[in-house]
Amino acid sequence: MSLASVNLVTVEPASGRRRTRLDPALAGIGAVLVLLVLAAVLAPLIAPYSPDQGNILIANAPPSPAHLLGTDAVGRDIVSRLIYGARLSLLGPALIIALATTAGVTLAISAVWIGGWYDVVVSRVLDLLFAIPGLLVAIIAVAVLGTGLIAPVLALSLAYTPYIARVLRSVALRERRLAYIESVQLAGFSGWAICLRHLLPNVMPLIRAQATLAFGAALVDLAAISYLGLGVQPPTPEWGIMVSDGQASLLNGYPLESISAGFLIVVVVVLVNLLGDRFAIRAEEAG
Amino acid sequence: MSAPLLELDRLAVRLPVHGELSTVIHDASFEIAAGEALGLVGESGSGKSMTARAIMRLLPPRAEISGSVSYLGQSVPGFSRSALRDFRATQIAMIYQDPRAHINPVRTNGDFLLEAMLAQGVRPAAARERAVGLLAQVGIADGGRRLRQYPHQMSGGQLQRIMIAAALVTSPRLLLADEPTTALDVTTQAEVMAILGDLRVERGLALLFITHDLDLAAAVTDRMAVMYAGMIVEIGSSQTIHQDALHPYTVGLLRSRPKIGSRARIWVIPGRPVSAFEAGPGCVFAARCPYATGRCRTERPGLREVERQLVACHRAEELKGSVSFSAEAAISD
Amino acid sequence: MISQQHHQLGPADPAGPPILQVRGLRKVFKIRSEGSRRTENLVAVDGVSFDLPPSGSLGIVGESGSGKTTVARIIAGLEQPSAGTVLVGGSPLARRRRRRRRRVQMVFQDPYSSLDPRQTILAGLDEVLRLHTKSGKSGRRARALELLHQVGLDERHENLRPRSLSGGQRQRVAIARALACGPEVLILDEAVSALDVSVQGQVLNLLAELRTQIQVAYLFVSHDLAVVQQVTDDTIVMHRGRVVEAGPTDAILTSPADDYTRRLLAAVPRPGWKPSRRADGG
Repeated sequence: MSLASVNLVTVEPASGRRRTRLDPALAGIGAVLVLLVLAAVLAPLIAPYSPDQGNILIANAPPSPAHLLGTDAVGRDIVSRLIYGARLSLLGPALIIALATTAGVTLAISAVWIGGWYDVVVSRVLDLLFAIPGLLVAIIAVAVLGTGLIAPVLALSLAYTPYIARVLRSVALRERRLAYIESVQLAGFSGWAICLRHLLPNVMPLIRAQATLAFGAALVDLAAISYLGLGVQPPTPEWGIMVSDGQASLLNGYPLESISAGFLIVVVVVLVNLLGDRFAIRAEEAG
Repeated sequence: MSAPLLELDRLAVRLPVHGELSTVIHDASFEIAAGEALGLVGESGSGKSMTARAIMRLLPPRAEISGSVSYLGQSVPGFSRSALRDFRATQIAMIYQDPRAHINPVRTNGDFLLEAMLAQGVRPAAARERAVGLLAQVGIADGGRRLRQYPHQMSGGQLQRIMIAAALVTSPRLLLADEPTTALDVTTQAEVMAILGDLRVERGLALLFITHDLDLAAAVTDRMAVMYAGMIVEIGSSQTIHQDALHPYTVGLLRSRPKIGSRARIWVIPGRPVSAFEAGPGCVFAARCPYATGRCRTERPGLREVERQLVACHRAEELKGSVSFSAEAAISD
Repeated sequence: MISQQHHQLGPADPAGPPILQVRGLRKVFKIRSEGSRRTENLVAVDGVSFDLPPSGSLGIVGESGSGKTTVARIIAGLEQPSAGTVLVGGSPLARRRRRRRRRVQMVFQDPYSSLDPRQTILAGLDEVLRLHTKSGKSGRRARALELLHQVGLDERHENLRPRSLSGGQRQRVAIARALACGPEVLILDEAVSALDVSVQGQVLNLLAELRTQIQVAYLFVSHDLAVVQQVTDDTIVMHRGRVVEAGPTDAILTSPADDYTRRLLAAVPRPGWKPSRRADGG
């Protein structure tokens, strides 16, 4: 009996179902993120003020019971702008991850299943994409399509596709060679059925981990693009724009707009990465 | 009989399993004399490899042990750090089932073999010469060329020979071999066993041979201990055990292997092998034993002498020679 | 040359024409040798021919590198042969899926990877039955339970996932899944090699028992002579891609004609065994 086999000898509960232990850290992280998403969705209900209309008379007001984080250079309530800002700041990366994951999973699974020349071509294209910095692609896309949400989202989706696809391809390749995949092949199932019913579900924990980790990176990238003025345009509330807008006030001694928006970006990215790490550990345990 | 080289007395090991300390070895006692080959036979979860690890003091950090392991009368768990290093470096060596997992793939065989000698201050030329000599002893003739090659250029059998040669570098007195031939083809297994046999004769090397294969252990060892669920259930002369096993588990195990030249349906021990922490309070084999009585399920039998063997079975005398298992196919583990 | 001829195995055709006919099978793998761009040809299987009668049982014995698993994989349709033919029930193993393929099923060596870890036992069987039968849900469940009973499992196991099963139970499920396709040939590729000795015996007896109950021919691939003897009528011995000896299993084990077969037999440990040492083998 080796050390490894000690861990393999598991006494299962009679039901045979996986014991669902609630991981308190995971639950905490999840709760904070859910609250943030809820705040974004319900912004009109919970934001105390309009995000767009300021009162120039109270510009750069310090924190007060009426304005918990004060107001910005044109007198808009910072808390309200942060709450509304969560919408685009979270929607952008979510779109990127949805697109990149769909493309990455499709490419990786099809490459593994079809193999041969198709696999070689897909792998080379992914390598090439991986070598081009995402921000550079985004800047080119903005030059072609103009500023706004669409261009950076499309560009970053392209940039994150290899990030999802490359790791997935190598894991799916290992999975595909396992005997259970070969036996469903022998049973006569079509490639579609095998990929959708067997291959995909078994690499899902990895996809989840990769997508979560990519979300954090995409959020930072999008914020950077907004900060550079290439993404959505002011006065739209968005955290990257707020960091950028707040810069002038920061130098004048009113740092709260930049700092609070920057703080939210950091908090979300850290939480999402922690979540992704947990998922990655689980994926490893499952695989 | 001279003082034993290695002596285990009521060695018990507890390990964290699912967060709780669980017993993985119960009161294992045996001794190995200088030059003797002892087989430690068992299925998965029997604790045979864990016993070897306990001897080498290679248990995980949270493991608890009780009882004693002594080497030439000195307590191994009591060794100081430097004494332990010296013990592992010069007295005892270990070879494993999967040599590839224990050799650095990016270094040459020569790097691997010479490392210990160079660390002891042997000059490189002399070390190489010695390594080539050791390779010749394990049946590798073109040692000079092999030293320049990498592990992936070797077959499994060749690599296991290199592991044996590496184990011999420090001229140990005891070799722990943990399923060293399980991953090899039968013809290669025969060669590796022949090499180990020759080395025992030439060097007076004692061998603790860990295996799941009762027939192999019976063929190559002087005595053997049969382990089940962390407990030694029978120990004695290999030949005697192979012919007249007393413990129902040993009898069942021997007869559940098909024998060449006989098509008779083989016997089936019902159920699957369990680990020590899954066994009940009584005899560890009671749940699978067709002869278990109420006493067997509540009172754990210790090893006692019956007909020159040591056996842990309450009913050893009355069952002697009459144990049989069903050959029923539907029995599932 | 023995491996070139066609071996007539088994009793003289009591059950009609062979269910499996293998002729002149050859498989060449192209391997890229280290540090060079040239590819070398590795002949894994060369001139292998044999017949398997319906409900017969043929062992393929050999060590690693003998080509035995490659032969099995070609017959299953998992590899394409470089030359030679495989006829199942008289017709070639076409690429067409489903109906053709289900006639040959395979049980693999590693019990830990041979079942989908996410699928319950019943779901795995049901999936296969849905593809190959027209029965409704209750009919399929009844058939699935019948299959489970045949391999020594029962209702208690139907909703478990593979991780809750022991190695022996997993191989039983793999056998049940293969049988669910209604195959005429069941390939068992080292199917009991990874099991503990006491469990191996259970599965061997099960395989022997199943043959008396259902119409299926075994192609039993193994390195283990004693195990092959338990479940086969005839055996071919392979060495370096070729068949070196073929005939009734008992005859091969008791009076081997070929040198290599003799060496294999001599290497089987037994009391009083003196392992022999060749110069620089392995």
